[in-house]
Amino acid sequence: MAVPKNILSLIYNVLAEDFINAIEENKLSINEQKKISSLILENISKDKTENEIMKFLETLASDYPFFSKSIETIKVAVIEKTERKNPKENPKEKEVLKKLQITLRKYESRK
Amino acid sequence: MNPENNLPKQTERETNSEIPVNPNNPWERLTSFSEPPFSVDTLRRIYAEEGGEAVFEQIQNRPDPDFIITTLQTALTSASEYETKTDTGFSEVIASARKRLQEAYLIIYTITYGGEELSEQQLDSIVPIIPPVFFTNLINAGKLSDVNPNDLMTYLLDPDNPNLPESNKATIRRTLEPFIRSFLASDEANDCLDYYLPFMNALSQSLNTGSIKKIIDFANEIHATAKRIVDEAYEDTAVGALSPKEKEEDYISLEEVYPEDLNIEGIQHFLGIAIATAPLSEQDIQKAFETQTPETIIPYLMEKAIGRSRFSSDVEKYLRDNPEVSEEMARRILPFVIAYKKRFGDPEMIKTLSNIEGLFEKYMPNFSREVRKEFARIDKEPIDQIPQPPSLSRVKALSDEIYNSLFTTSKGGEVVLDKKRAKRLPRILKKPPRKSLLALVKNLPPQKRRVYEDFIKNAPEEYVTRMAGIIMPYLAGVYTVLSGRVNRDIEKVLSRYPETYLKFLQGRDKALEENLANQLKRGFFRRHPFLAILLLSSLAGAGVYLQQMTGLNIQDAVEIVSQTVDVARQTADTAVQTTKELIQSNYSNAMETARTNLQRYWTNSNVLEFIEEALRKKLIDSIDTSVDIQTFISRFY
Repeated sequence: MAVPKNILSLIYNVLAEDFINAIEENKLSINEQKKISSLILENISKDKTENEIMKFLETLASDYPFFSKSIETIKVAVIEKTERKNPKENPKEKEVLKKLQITLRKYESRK
Repeated sequence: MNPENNLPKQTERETNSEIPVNPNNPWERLTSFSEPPFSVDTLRRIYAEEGGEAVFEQIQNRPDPDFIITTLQTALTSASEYETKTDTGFSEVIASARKRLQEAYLIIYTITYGGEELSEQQLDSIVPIIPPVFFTNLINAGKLSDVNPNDLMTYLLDPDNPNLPESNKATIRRTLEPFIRSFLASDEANDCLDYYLPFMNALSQSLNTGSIKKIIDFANEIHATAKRIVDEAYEDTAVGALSPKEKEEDYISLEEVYPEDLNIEGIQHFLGIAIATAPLSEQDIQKAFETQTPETIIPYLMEKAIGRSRFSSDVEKYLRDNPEVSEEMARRILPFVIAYKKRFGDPEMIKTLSNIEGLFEKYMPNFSREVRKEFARIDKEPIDQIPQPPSLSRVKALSDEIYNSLFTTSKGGEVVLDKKRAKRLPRILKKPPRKSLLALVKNLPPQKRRVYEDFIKNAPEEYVTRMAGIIMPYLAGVYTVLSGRVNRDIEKVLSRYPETYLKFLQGRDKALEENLANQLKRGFFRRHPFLAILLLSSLAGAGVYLQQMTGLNIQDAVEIVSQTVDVARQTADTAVQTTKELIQSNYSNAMETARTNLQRYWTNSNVLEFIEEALRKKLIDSIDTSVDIQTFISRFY
């Protein structure tokens, strides 16, 4: 399933924030900056499915841990937007899932 | 690197959106190398204004250091290969210049990029290539030494220059200005351009459109300038025009030519006296060095000095007025004169040297006993009795003597061909060299005949062959013209001396060439039309003689000479073949080939007609009217 443009923008924005922070903290060389930029632009596009994008983000986070936080944020955001886009789904189930995700994130951050 | 240089980092983002970069053209990508890096603030601004995707796009499109390194390494390899082909001295200069340019590059790179991420090794790979910004002012200057550092500074600080961020201009000025001033004032500046030829060539081939046209112009300018510098550098050396092998073969020092016992100091001292006493001007000396070979220069100068009537009296006067130095002069000069006289086989030269010797002998009684004793010893000492080879001008003079002996004066006072002598010529020429020469000099006036006979009898075989190699084909040509037919004996003569004759005709023998040019001025063409035809037809150097022969005005002569240079260059192989054919008696074919060449390359029909007309006219005017010269000429033209 193709990812909507607004979600792609959201993903880019979230990644860019962590990316700039990493540059500020001198965590990335010029070569790495270019390499990461190319990877992101190549793998996050309207031609890719949601699953492909998510899979790429997982890989990106494992290679560059400073993106881990972004990935979670993106997942949440994607789910939220997807839910908004699919109102016919069970609201109760959705609420439970959301709470569960928030709990997981808190648990992860404590860890 | 950055902290070491204490240079500020980039704080502003500047792009040149007017110049689209074609990602498929590496050279265009290279030109975008000058785009400054992005600071965090800039990235945040991009993010705020254009979104996260724009951040990644901007960073992705930044120049790739790896690409730059690869490209520049290729250029460097090419440049290094070029460098190894130049001679050692030049390479040292280039290497020195390169080192300084490396420093400049490092500075520029550091300023514009903050020097991030490139290792020292990587920097070493790319630093030989200076960004075009550094040299751009050369477009209007022609060479580095003409670049005004202030102009360059102005360029570097140009507010419209997209390569340099405003915030760093002060740093650029502070850092670069002293270096640029120092560099431009150095001798290395121009030499270093040669190093950039391969790079500039590649650049000019790769860049061909729009906004980068100025770089093409720049590259071409650099190329032309560097080429000119190299040419000039080589022209400055006497052996510059020769290949390394030729240099090795042709560059002979005076010491090598004249053995130790001939006393180089004495030669120099003689020249000093000659100049001091004014028989030889500095221009004479200069001309001698330009026109003579090491072998002929001293005899040439001596002849010139002695030939001037005031010389002997001037030297005498000098010696008389300077008794304190006369002994010293004699001590230096006489050993040389005596030794040279013994070695030099040319009769005229011996006479000249004897005059000098006599001059000093006159003062001998006044010299110290020690010096007199020394002279006596030198005089008695048998120095190698092998005569030196005759100078080419002497050989040519002898051939003229022989040629003139073929003519006689009629009762009416006219100079006419002595038909009896001319008729015997083929039989004489076909004899072995020594016998042939002895037979030829028999007709000379008694005094000259004796001198030449002595020399020809005593000279080693190789010298005799050398003389014969010039004189025989020459006389064979003369005979052919005079008789209007190709004699079988003459054919044998022409085929006997191919190497010498070829060398002569190809103009490699500078001394003879000079002599020939002088002869032409004095009407050589009138007397030696056959040789003139050969020269005119196809051989290198023909144009040089043309002005002398035909009395053309300078403009026409220049045109013809310049065309002849092309002819010589383009038909070198054909010319050699033509000559070989000629010497191998394939006479008509050779002349036909020559005529074809003449018509092919001398496309200016007026010039062609002029030459042919001049040939006809000069030949008809000068040759014995009993010879059907028209028939002879029509055979070839």
